[in-house]
Amino acid sequence: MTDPMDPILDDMFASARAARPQPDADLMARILGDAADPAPTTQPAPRPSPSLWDRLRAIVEDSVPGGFAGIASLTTCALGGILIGYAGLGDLPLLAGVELLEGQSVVTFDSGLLNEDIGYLSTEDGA
Amino acid sequence: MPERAEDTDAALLARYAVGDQSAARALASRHAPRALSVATRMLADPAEAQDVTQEAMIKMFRIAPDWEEGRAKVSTWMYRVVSNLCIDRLRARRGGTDPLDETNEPADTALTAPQRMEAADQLRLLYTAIEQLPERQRLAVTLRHIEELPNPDIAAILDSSIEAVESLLSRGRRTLATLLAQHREDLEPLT
Repeated sequence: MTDPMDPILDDMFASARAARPQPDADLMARILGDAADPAPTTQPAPRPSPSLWDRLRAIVEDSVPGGFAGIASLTTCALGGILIGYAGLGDLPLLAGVELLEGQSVVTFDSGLLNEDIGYLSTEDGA
Repeated sequence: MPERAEDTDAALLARYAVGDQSAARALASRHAPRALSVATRMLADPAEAQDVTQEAMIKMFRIAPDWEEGRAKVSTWMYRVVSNLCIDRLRARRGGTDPLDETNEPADTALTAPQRMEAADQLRLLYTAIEQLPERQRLAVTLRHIEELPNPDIAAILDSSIEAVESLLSRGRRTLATLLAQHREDLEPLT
């Protein structure tokens, strides 16, 4: 499906092409001055060739939407899937922290510890 | 020796290498505008873009004696040098602020004054949106849509595959469309 912004973008790019900046006389004079002196003192330091890490980063940024953040999200989801697959759905209580060991459960609340007479709560009229 | 339209870039480099300064003028008039255009869009700083253009031209003059005709297009080599210089500067300035300032673009004399203001506003919106793109998307979009280079040349400049360039362009255009959609009512075509 065509994006309704496409023709607008194309018009804007055409305007940008027509408005490309041109070197002014001062810049051209500087350039031709450099050309007349083939060993300029303003020569910048040579750019080191990209490291393996830089090339890997460029490949990932070009190929994977989201770059390394996308890969990190994907890896987290994959590890989560592996963990669930390993633990199995039958052990969901274990994942939830309800059962820590086989045959042993965590008691989260014991009304008998309140030391109060709450028997009236178990009768309909509260008597 | 006067510049001839049929002179190839490689022939001009060879003439410059043996001391022909008119060849230097011809090379500068061909390549400095391209370098300045890309550097301006990449850096959004006219002064810095001029420095990059000068640096790139210096590199071209220095490589002239060693240039081997047929090894690559000079224009592709030039764009690659400019791209690397811009990326180096963007990485050096990362963490700082990048103010949007005016560019030394020629006025469009075919438009009335109000139309010129409107066109300038639209261009400013586009330039601001381009500045929001990640650097390789920004470079690919600039080379494709403003410099009108074919994708294989862009792939050579970015040292990447054509598929990767297509992906960069697709994501770049999508991001620009999203960023500019909120200004859509201001972006009606000029009449």
